[in-house]
Amino acid sequence: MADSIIKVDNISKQYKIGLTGDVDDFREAVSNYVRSFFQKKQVVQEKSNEIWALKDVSFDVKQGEVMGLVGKNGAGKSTLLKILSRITEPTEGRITIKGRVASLLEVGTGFHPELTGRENIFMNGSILGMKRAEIRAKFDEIVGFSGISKFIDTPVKRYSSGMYVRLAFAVAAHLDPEIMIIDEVLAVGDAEFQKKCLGKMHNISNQGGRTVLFVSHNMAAVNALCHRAILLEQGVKTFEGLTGQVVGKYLLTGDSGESDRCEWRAPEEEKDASLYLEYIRIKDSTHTTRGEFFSREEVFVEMEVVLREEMKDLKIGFDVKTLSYGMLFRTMCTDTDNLVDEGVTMKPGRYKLTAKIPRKVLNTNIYYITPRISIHRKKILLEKDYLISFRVIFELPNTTHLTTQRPGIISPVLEWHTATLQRESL
Amino acid sequence: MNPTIIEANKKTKFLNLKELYNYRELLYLLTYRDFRAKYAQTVLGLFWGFLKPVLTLFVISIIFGRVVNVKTGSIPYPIFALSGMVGWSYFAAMLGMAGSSLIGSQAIIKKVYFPRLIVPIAKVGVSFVDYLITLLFLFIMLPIYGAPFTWKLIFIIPLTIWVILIGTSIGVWLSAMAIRFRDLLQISPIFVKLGYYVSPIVYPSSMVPEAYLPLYYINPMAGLIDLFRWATVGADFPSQYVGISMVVTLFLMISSVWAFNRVERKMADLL
Repeated sequence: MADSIIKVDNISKQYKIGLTGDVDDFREAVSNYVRSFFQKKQVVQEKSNEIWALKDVSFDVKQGEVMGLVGKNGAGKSTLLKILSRITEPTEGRITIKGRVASLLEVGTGFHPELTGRENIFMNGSILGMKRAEIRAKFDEIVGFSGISKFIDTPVKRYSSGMYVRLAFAVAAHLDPEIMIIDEVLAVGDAEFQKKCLGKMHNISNQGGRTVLFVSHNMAAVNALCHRAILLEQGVKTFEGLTGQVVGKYLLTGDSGESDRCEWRAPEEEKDASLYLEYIRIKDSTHTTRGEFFSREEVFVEMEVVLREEMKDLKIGFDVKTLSYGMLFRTMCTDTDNLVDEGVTMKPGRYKLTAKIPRKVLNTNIYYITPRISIHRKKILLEKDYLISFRVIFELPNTTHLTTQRPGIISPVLEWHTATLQRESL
Repeated sequence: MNPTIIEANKKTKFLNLKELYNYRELLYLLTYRDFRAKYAQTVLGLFWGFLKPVLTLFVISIIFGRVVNVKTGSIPYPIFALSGMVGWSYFAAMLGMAGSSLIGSQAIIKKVYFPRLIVPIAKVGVSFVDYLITLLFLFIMLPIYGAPFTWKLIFIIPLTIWVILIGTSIGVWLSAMAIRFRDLLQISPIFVKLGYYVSPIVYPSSMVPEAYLPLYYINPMAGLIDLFRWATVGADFPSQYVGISMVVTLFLMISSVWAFNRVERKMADLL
């Protein structure tokens, strides 16, 4: 029964940019209106103040499939979702949907601050498309999931932002439609709650028959939940296929939002010092500066340091930190020569130092680099905390599809040997 | 189930009553939400609904009843004026709230699909309670001024429906236009104020010269108020030109849905 549940056919969406509602627009509105009497179809005009947010996007989603939609900000993902949710109309093209759609484009839609948590559950649930009876039946479950049963009869305006989000998501998580369209809503709440949400999303997508279209910037979530994915770039579909492949393609296009943070160059003012860091950047094995990696890749940290005078006992290196676990490790250029308790002497000049972070060790996370230059046990010359960052996605080698994030701070891929000690005779 | 088709320039039904019915729970909830928001943290709550017409009537009766001395025949001035105020204040409330309703609800309009017509229509419910309170006030005043309860009072029911239709149509019109031309929201309160005087609230329509009556009844509230007065306080049945008010109402109903449909498609983009 792998029938197309959602069939998108050459969808395009044009927007006018700039001010709307001023005098020019009024005149235009009137003249368009008069003109429309003499024309059957609305003529789409190409003008400089109009842009195509989507152009000729086509794809199919089969029943029971979880389709991911990825692309950097501004690629047109939200616009496509809005069209699929019937919030805005396409300028061209056609979509056929077989089944009831529930759209989750925002968490807490319709929440009113003066209403209590209880009342808002009904309000939000109804807006999302649940019938009153359905909400009543699931009420206890929703409250349980949110974890705020104590405050359920307090007006929502008294809630902390965390409580607000938990309640909103709890309602959304209990939607039961045939087709679900989800936009980025996992990017809320603390780490523990996010894990809960991911788990619930996993259940939703696994329990047969439900078709999901999922947009997210969280590549680990997309990898974990989606069977197939589509990559949108500037309103155009550029790639479609198995999730692992599409996510890989997205990361390698280099502009997935993390790339501006994977490189740092010194501003002019800093270059007056007798020792300074010219730049620090993250590279891959092909010497391309990148911000995102699969765990199977080696990650290189390259630093260029300039000295104007000879310095003794130097220690040059960096710390690797994460937001969830704090500092992961510290590494110094002297480690290679086993000079743990000594620094190096360096003459004036310009030096390029490269460190290789081994593959198959890091888990899915964002890693922040803090470059450090110090005179051993005497003083710190340079320490720039969280200066650059890079992302890693853990995935086991030789698979291109579903991977779940492993628990644990690091996830080294170890070698295992099995030795048969005794064979059981059957 | 029929597949949903999303298309550019799609032909939609003129008024999809079935869909509105399917979303009735949402309509109820929007009304409930507005209602709770209105009276949240107030001490007097519903009592304000009572105080407002009482104070207004008091002032109007003194100014127009005594000072200006408008002649209302055999009907005591206070109940004469009150019978006009009942319908008018409901109309004005509906209109006032409906006008900005779409703009006020832009958050959910941009995030969820539902028939947008529900938004201005929901404003009918919120002020209905005030309407009932004012009506109750009228029922209390009738015996005080010696006006009998007659069988004609049953007409209040269709007349209530009529005032709802007038208020909603103009409200829908206004809400649809206001998305593009926000000035309308500044202008409409002025027109409502003027409308107060162009309607037979503080004076009887018998004061209007016969030749001008057809023009006068283009204001649908004029016809409504006159009939309401006939049904409640025993005024004479108004002239046949009242029919014009009814026709105008019908026209407003149909044209408001038409105007709304035209804006509905682009609504999420314009707001």
